[in-house]
Amino acid sequence: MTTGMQKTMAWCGAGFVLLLFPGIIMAGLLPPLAPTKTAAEVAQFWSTNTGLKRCGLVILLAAAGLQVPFGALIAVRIKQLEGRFSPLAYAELIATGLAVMAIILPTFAFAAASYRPERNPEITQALNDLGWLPFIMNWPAATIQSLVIGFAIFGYRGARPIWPRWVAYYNFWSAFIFAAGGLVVLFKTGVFAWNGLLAFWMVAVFFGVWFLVMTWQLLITISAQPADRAQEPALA
Amino acid sequence: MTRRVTLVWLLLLGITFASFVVGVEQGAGVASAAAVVIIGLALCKVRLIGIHFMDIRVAPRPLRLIFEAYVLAVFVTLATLDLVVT
Amino acid sequence: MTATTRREAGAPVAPPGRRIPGEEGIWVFVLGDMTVFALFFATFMYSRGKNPDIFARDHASLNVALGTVNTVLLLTSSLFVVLGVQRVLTGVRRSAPRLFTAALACGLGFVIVKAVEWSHLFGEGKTVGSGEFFSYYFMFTGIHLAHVLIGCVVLSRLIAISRRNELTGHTAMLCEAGGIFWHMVDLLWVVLFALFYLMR
Repeated sequence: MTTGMQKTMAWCGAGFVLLLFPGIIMAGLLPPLAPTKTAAEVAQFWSTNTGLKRCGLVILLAAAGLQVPFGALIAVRIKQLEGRFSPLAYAELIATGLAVMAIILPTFAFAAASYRPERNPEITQALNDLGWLPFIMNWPAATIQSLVIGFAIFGYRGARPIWPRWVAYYNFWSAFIFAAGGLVVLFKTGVFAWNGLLAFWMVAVFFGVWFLVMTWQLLITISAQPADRAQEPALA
Repeated sequence: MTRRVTLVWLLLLGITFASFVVGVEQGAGVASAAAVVIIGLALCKVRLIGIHFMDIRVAPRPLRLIFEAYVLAVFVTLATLDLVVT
Repeated sequence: MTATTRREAGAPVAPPGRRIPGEEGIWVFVLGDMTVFALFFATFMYSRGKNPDIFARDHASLNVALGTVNTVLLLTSSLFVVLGVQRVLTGVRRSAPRLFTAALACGLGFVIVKAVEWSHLFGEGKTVGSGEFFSYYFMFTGIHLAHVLIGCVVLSRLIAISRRNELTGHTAMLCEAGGIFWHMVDLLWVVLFALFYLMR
């Protein structure tokens, strides 16, 4: 595992953000369609700029995949913190898989909505709901990743910590923030609806920032590691 | 130290009851002014908790400044929203 | 149980130079959380300005006396925590577990009072979907309640830690950091109490 490969995997985190947000904008998902829109309005939305929106959705899928190498590298770092028995590293891998699904599943629903916009508007609205609700509600994937990183750092008792302790605290705080979208199914208006200031905008900003912060922190760890596998550091 | 924090605690209770009185006695016309007073008293309590309980008293100046700025910013924001938004 | 260092209770500790209480990381968490809650407070005030009648009417359903009891409980628990942390930091730790236990009791009292309040509101048919005021009320006090519950877990850890025979500097620092988290929980409630219970 060369340093070059590790750095590429780390940069996938930033790459995810840099690809996700243009994809969201192209797909017309920013700002979000209000939950209060009628079926006719939703159908109207998906009938306009269809080419651009469909391209945006394709980009979202590509972006989703970038979380895989990023999450895997984080898992390796967690394993280095845990040592031989590394359940948190496994939890990180599972959470990374969930994180990919968190983007893919809504994208499929939006793709179906976009595919035949001339169909019955009620069906289009249902597909639109099927896209938006999980897109914002799917907090376990992100929260679990953050909690796992935090607990791994706190649990490390050795002499050469991979990450400074503030990264743990930052992740615990982020875990809370990511959960803020979890109750959107209860609201059609207001700050906790899927287009709300708190459930959408605040979470979106801190979600994007998390990837940038963790990319930065991963890159720091790579410079501190020897590239050659034969010199694997004994950190436990 | 015990005496200091106990005094702070008594002060906090006092402010709590004072703002309770202000809250109960507000008439319709002075709702805005009463609200600003209540917000102000709440932020006083926030500051006391931070300075004396969280021990920001002994913290380096940057942390102290950030905390004080927070208290001030929250007070100004909430009071402004109370007075301006209709 | 003997303290690792013997000091007379009340003997002056050498005045510390400027130091970060706890560790820097806890302040990342605390300041971040305080900022998010400040956003909560601002959205509440904005909505209150836009919907004065709804807010005035629904505010009347809240039990200000119970809210005040909760405020007193949290303020008192914070006092116990401050005293307990001070005992831990100075090494005179005999009463620390009792102080943390008293704080935990206050915290659990808060949870119980909150449960009483909420079930009363539910009984009147008020839920998170019952209009602007109640959606803010249940969401914000609910998120705060989650913090209180986590804080209770933290306090339990402090009780366990302060019972140990020997404490490293690192563990003492963790006690202080845990205490700071609890004070944040108290601090956030102080504002929530003012906004929801005291302001008409």
